[in-house]
Amino acid sequence: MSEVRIGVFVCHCGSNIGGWLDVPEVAEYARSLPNVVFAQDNLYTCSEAGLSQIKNGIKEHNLNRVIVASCTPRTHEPLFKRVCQESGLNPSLFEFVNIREQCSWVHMQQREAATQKAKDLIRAGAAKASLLEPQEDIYVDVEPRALIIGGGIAGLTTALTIANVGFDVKLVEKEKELGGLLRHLYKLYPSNEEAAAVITPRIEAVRNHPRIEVFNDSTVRDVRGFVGNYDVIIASDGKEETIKTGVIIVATGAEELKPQGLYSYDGQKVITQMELEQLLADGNVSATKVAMILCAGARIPERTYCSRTCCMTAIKNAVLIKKQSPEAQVYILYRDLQTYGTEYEEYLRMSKEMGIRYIKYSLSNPPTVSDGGVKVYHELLGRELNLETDLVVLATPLVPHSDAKELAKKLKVPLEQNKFFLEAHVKLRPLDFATDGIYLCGCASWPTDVEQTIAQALGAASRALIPLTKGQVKVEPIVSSVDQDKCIGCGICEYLCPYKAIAVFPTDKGDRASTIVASCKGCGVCSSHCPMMAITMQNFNDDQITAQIAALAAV
Amino acid sequence: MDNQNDFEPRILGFCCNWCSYAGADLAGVSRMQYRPNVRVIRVMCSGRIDPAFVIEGFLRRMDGVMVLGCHLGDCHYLTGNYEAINMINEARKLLEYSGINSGRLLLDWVSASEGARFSEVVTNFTEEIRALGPLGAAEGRDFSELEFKLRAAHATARGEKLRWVAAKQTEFMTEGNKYGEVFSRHELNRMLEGVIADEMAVNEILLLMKERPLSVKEMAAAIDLPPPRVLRYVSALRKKGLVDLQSLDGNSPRYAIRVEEEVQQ
Repeated sequence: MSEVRIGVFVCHCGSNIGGWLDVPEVAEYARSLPNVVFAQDNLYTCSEAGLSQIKNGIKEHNLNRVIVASCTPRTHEPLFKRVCQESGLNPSLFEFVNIREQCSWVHMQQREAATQKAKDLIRAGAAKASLLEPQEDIYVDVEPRALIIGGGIAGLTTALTIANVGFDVKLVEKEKELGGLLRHLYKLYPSNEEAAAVITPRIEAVRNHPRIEVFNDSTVRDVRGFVGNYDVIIASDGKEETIKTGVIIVATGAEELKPQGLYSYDGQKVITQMELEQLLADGNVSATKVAMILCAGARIPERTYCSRTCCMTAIKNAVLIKKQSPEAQVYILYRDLQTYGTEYEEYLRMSKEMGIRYIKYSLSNPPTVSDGGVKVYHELLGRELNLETDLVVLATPLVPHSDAKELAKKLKVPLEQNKFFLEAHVKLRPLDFATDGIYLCGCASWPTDVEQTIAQALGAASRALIPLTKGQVKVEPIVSSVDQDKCIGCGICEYLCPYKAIAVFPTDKGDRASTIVASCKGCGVCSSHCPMMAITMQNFNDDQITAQIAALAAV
Repeated sequence: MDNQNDFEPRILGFCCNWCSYAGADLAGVSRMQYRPNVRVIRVMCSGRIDPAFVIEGFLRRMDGVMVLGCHLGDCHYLTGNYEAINMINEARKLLEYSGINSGRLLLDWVSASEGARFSEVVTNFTEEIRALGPLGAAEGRDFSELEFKLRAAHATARGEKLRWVAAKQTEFMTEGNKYGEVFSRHELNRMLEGVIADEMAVNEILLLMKERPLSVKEMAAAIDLPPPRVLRYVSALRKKGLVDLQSLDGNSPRYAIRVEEEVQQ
């Protein structure tokens, strides 16, 4: 192979890296490494300017390897690989070095040590880059079908969007009926339209759509495969059915926390907002002295997050009570109010004009509920109030379904610490999972209101439509390859491969293993277990890893 | 040691792309601060880690090696982390046979959502290694002594014999061998240890002979094994054609590694 010419681009990331370690010094050091012919620091390597610096570098210095030392490869690697490709460099000759998430951000008070660590990591990157080899792109066909888990507003919206483009959709719902949480709501803020008016036409449209098949009372038993070629086993009515699908969308939603043991909750005199919705829908609210307690079971040490929807739900329900019986006294006991944006803040102001009273309490001094009244210390007045009530409504947070963990395991996707599904990146890929071909939307990832859920569902559908409409996806050329001269056909790799992506075939030299590239996911277990050391894991091969170890250890 | 407090451990880390590397990223996003001693190499799966990589790290004078994968049952590749258990178990035994405190090798699990846990694992391991001191300190040995053993361990890890047994563990524990005999973890450990003891000795003998021709007695003294056992290994090596009788030192034969002759056809 011809001379290795590495170019290193060290990113300041504004002050995210540059503020905590000496980027120019790191770039200067990179220039001194073997095979490195060019190094420069950029303010933002991922910006237009930074990307054209890479392109210019490749051209002017005849680079045949590119290293970017900046953030994590888990988000920006595709971008930089594309730039390499546009400049005529095989994307497999790109190497990423993470000096932000795993260096500058975690060693903020240790400038010197962080600078040294960045140098070490780049040295290892250069050692690996020197041994990178160009790889051919691999394409696999996409099964032209989407499987959607969850038949609430999120799932229904994605199903209709994808089916209307012309793809088959399989919609799996664990309950008997479609509609999810919206079936239990009365009116929606801020427009006060009936939830049924939003959900019923969508249920009808899904039921009557020739391209959508609904599986009620059904659960996902198992998931196998990879982007474009998933096999999902559905259990319904004691029967199992395997569905071949190109993409999967998780739209499983969330549920209201039942506040057992909180504020004397009894479902009669002390109820939840969801139970109040039902009473409002039936026109059954006779109470005239109502106290609503916000953050009931939320933003506490064991459940730290804000559920986001409950403030507006409480305000809306308070307004509805006031509209039904204007003489009613309605108090809202809050810790903080989340009425962001233009419409919600306007709605809050309107509710105050209607005479709804807001009382601020604190976490350390919560209200107490007794028969016929609520005692609360008003933080702003600085004294305790005794409110006479005939109904107490608790605004409890949305919590993940208890079976979320099980589903996450089957899909091989992560949950965050509160057990909601965790997206690939909170800003850059909010509707994707890190696993290709699986997407998420709605309350499965975080409590969202109807408007946000629909926006996310449309977004997730359009993300899923990318591989579906293309018909093919490019898979990373991180696959194993077998040296036919070293292989003895023992079959250990075939036994161990979780994807049946390597198998022993008869050849004229005798039995030999070989990789089925479209199925290989690149774990490398075959390579670390081959008794003959005949299997190379492309992009993570023994020589590359050994070179990285040696480079890291070099002082 | 006077400068125990100045000692900054050098730690090599392996993180899997899907869980622990993402957890490390999350620690960064959450600005969790930890000691800058670990240098991470990203691999796709913890099951990718060949015991030879671990040995390589110590040969390069790393004071600790840390392998972090997905939690059991959460592996992106279904069972890769179970294979990591087998591989790291083997690496730990190789270290023990090389006279290295196996506390210098850590296998643990960190999910993509456990940024805090990542920083905690790194911090704890860094402090554990700091307490052990530089490679060789806890072992009470010079690095040069350890290096010889580590080179033998490296050859053992890359050798066919140990790799067979190691790679077959899962199959032997679940479906059994070709006669349907299922083995317990305990039985497999004994099998592994037997192979490691033999292979370590063989590789040490080969390393010694690479320096110069030696008699069985000399070799036995150098690697602290009974001469009859060394003779057994040397005879086996001769049968395989790897070792030749080179000369006689009085009555004792001296052995040397066979020099491959050009094969004429």
